[in-house]
Amino acid sequence: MYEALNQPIEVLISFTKNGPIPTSFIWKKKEYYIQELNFIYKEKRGNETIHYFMVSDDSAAYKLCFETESLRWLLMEVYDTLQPENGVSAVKERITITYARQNNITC
Amino acid sequence: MRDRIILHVDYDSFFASVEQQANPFLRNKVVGVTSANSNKGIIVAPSIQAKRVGIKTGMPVFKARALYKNIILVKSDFVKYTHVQKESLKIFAKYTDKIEPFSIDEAFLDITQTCKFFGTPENVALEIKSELRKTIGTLITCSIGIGPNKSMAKIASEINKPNGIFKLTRNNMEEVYKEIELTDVCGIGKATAKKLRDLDINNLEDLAKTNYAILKLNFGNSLANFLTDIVKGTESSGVSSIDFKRVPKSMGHQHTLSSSTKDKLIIRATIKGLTELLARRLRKYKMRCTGLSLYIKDERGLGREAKQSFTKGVDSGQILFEILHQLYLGLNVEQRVRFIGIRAYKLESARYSVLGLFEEETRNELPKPNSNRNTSARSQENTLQQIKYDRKEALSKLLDSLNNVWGTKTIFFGTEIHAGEVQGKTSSFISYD
Repeated sequence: MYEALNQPIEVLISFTKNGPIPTSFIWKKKEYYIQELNFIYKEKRGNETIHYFMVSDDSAAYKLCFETESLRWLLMEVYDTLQPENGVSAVKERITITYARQNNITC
Repeated sequence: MRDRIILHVDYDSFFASVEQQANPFLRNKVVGVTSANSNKGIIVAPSIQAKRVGIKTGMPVFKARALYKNIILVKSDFVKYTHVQKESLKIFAKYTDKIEPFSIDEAFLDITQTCKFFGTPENVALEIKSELRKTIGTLITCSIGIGPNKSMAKIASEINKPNGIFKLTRNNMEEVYKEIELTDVCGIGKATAKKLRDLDINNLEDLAKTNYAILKLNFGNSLANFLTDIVKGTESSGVSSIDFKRVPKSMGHQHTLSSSTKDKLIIRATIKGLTELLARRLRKYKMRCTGLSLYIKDERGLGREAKQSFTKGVDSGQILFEILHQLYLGLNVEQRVRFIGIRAYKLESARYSVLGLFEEETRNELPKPNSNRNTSARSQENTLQQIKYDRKEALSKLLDSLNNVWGTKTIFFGTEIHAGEVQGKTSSFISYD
């Protein structure tokens, strides 16, 4: 299921002849490599244009958004393919494990 | 008269296909797009796979779960769907200037004059499909019906679903009409179909054999003509072109509630939400209306309409709402409400809006509550009403300026809170005819 996050991220973009394509992003110190750009759309919110990129890797689909006024990238939603265990989503669990490893914490 | 060539482009399981395009983990799965990620509410759009297991549009989520336990529910995202519609219209515009969006996922194209540049109508249909695939995505497919008029093109688009093309002509219409239900025809709703069945007209074949006088007696001139045109294939309504220089004759907003309700608070809030959207659009086009209609459909699918005309053009959401609310109360709706639609007609330019010759006439937006008062009391009341009107107009302008910068519904009236996300799920229309 989709999980709303709305969290700031760092994004690496490739400017191709077909337009800009995000290739990877860093969220909570972990880098995610985008394997497929599935759908792009935009929205006009008052004066601001918001660009949305629906991307995916092997294990999850992500909704990234670029705000043209603030030039800020956000990870809006994650669609986690793995079933949540004990109420914790698989993506969140992976993040926790990565964070724990990086900081030498035993889970 | 030479037959026209009309295409009806109808996306297959539109919302669900867009969601499957956006997320590969939803592809080939039983997916239901809902208004909320919960067991409440209805399936707004099932995926093609969901339709195969018997899940239908409008089915309550708990029923869909009973049919398929592991159905994946996805919350509707109208920003995505509107984007696809806009991109589609850009593609259609390469083939003709006569394009009439019929809903968010349907459009009529009149290619009578332009078809010769692209070959046969089937070629045009194939090219459109290929362009849509390239631009929007391979998962978002559409079915295209080709016919000599709008109603036949619409019927044709239903024949080879999903992802098909079908040409309905006067030569094969008899054969096709044997296979379709009365309610498959756009314009024959549940109520008309029931009335037809009561007259022992059970399908289009029976309808073709029915005497016009019988139809006229039971349905009136206009509907009898429509039904006869359908079975004879002589329907002749035009495809409105998207021409931004043309002045719209009417505009409206409509909304299907996530579940049927009798709750007056929700109904009132929904009407308010729709009214503010309509008023904002009137102001955007610099227009005012002198006619308003309210259409309410109950859970049985039966609709009722109330209308009111007034002398002075109005573009203030608050005044429009007061009129619409009176119309709603006048309808005395006792059933649960499923659908609400509002329409502003008799539009006039706000720049050249006619001012009444007499003071009283200019302040006549709303019916006066009491006409037996003396002149000075009435004059005082008029002055107060004018002040009230001016304030409402000033407030509307202020809200517009804020919403124009920060986005629609950034600031809105508290009354609308109970309506939920009216803005996101509303469909709108503009008519030039």
